[in-house]
Amino acid sequence: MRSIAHLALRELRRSWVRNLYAALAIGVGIATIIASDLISRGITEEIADSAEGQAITAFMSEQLDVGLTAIGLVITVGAGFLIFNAFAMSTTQRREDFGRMRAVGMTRHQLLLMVLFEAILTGIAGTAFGLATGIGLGRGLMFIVTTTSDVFNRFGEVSLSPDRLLFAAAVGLATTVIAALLPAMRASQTPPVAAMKAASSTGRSPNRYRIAGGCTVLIVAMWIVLIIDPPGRWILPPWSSYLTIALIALWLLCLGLSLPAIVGLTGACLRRPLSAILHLPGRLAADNLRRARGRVTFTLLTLIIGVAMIVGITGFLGFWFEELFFRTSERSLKESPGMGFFPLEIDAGLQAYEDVVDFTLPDDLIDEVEAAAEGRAAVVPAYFVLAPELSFMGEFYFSFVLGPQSMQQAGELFFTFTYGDWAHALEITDKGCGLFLTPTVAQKNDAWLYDTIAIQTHLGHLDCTIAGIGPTFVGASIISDAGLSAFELSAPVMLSIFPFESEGSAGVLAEFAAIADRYPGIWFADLTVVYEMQLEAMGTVRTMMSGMLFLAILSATLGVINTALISVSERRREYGVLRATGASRRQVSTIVIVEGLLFGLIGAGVGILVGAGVVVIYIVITGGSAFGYPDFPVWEVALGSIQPALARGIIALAASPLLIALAAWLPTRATVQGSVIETIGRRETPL
Amino acid sequence: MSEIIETKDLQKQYQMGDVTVEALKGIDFTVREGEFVAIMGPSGSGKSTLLHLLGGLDLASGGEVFLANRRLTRLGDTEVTVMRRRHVGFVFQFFNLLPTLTVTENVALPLLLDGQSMKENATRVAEILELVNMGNRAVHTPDQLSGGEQQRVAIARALVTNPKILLADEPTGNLDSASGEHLLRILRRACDDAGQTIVIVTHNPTAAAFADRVVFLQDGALVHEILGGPFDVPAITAAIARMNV
Repeated sequence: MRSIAHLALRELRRSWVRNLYAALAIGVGIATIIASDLISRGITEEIADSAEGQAITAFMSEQLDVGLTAIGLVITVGAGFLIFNAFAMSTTQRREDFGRMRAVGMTRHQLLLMVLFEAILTGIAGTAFGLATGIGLGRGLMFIVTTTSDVFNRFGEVSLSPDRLLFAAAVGLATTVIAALLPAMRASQTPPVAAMKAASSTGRSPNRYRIAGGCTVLIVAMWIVLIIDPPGRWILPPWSSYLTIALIALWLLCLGLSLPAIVGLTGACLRRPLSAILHLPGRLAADNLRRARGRVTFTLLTLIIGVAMIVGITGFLGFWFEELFFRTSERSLKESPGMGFFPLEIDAGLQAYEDVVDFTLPDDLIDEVEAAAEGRAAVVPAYFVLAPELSFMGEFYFSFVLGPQSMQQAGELFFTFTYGDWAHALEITDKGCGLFLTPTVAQKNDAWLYDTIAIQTHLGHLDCTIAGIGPTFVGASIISDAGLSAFELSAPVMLSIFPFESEGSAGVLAEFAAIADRYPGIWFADLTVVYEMQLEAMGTVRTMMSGMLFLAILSATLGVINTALISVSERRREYGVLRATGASRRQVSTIVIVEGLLFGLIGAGVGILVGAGVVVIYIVITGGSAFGYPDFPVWEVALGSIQPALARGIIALAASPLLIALAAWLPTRATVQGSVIETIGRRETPL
Repeated sequence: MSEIIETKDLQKQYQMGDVTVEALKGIDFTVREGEFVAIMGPSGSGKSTLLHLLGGLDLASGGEVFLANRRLTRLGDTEVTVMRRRHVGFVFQFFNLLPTLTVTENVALPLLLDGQSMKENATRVAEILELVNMGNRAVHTPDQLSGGEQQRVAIARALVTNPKILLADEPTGNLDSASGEHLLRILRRACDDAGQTIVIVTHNPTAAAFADRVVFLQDGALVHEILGGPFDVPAITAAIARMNV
């Protein structure tokens, strides 16, 4: 065992560059997982002491944690592909060495252990790097956000949770071992005779065009159906979710299976034009794309994942926050403008929460406002609660407790009926607890209009009837004022005022502002300002996500550099032959640069296709029906949502090829810099 | 016949760890135009190093190499590359064909690198493939060929530019005797019919027997030569035995 470990360590030392890149790629993913924990808990720390505070911030924290951790996990999975690729290439390169070891008596089991040991050591190094840098990454990102954002301008002091530390370490190590298992198993199958003969390389992969053809037919059929009759216009949850999952899976599967064919086809199609422009180097670059397509596919996958994540997440956030979340709010606030009283200065961002213990408004203020508003404005006291049954996403999305009459007076801001009407709803809320929900939340409880849902509170359970289904303010469920006693709510967190149209709103505004002035710590603002602040907060979330997504691209780039290094090392002899037959250094470099450019273009192009496709499928199928918008213009919204995503994708499309070409050119330049015989004659040096 | 290859005090040293290895210790060597020369010697004697320096594949540590009246050691990389592309053909022991290219494309490689098109050289490539009996395998890729066939393609590639000089490093080293002999006949014909200068490095007395002259290297120095070839194989074997190399 000790000798196996010794051999593995020597191999690691010999090929330290390759292993360093693989470890860094894993490290980036682990760092993201660690940073996401720090950032998300930093938001709630010292804020969520009270029930109201928890209701306000828990969702934000949970969603950020889920979102950023998901990014970290995807980066780690991407790194897993890279490790698989690196070990697959390395074990192919070392086939003769393995044969020699087998010839002198190494068993298959020992060979497997040796390669796995190398992988485990790489994984440990990467994971340790990720754990160490994750804390710095999290704190660095929080620092950048606090100094640039007006909303997320304060994070609580948090230390790393041991659970997350263990989780990240386990993910890092497990990914490495799983990724290296197949190459290690293949290495262990090496016969001793491999020492005598090099692995044959045909340079061409099996024909995959038939699979790609079948996939193309399926994909085209799917898009035709989605264009002709978008399900988003008629389908309801949970069927929309099932169909979305099925079609996204079909889209990803088909693109994944077609990838080798896409690479081959690109090479074949570009052979002639590249030959015309760049002569032989162009032609060889196009040909090289079609070689070792398995490896090319795996390397491309990491790049595709990175770019698809950027495009997909940008598209999803655009859809949720710009098209769906505030769809009624914007229109409603224009039709019936409102103002709000808050127990803290919301425009001070998270800093406002510092030292605030009581998140409710004082009774005197409420009395005074209600008296002043009598006959001149609708007053809507709003309470925030956490009811997992009513959370539309996860378990920590808040719900409102609102008076139905005041809601009705407020116009469409809080709720609009898609199913039901006020007459029946008020009958229900007069008798007991009524709920105003989006279709998603109703379906989550396997219920529909006028059905009853049991909501758990710390006092017991509360039976509530669904009084209306339709779009709600920011997707939060609404419990009628019967929830006040069930949740032991004594005072509201927010008081919204909607002047009646007949009255001059300017005079009313001045009067309420004067009331607010008399209460220190109370903040009074136009609800449009609050709405805009929410949009800004979402923008900051998007920036944070983008910061993490940058790491996905970084991780993918590390992998591509690694693959480029190994490829150049593998093809050293070939470059030497070219030089011996009369190719100049420039011509050899041109082959590698063009190959890198094509590689980057395919990776970024397919990445954009994957990301944008997933977003469009989701929007076209889910539409607005999940939120209660039956007449949702699905295609218009889908195309609108992916526009900013495509802009980012195009940046990736421009940057990736250049980055990869540079990554491939540097080792090639070093390789061809010496004499021809040095290039051709030297045995492939392990990296 | 004028001299087409000349070396003066040609030296090559390698650094292997802390040890400096003197691969060539001041070689003075000439090859006349249209001559077929075989270089023989034990492993590590410097034969391949000499061949690489003659073709500009490696850089000399000292001395001079003249190739077709041009001082190779004074030329820049681009000039050496162009010279190699147009005037020198190489054949390696391990064939070294590009796996993604067909036989025709591999043969046309030096022409394509020179910016010429396949179309304008189609006849020349077809002729040269016929010369090496590979016309019927033109569209195959290297993995579909036997070792002997691959080496014949490599020779066709070396001859396609009609180079003045053809350098071959153990060209029969990986071939069976029949394939090896066939290949040597092609080289001999290139020398006799086209007047091309051939220099081969070989361990094989049968291969050396095809040459006009055989030079022997030992420990980086030219130690002997025999003239008046083509030879009988026993004559070569006897020379080797006499020199104990």
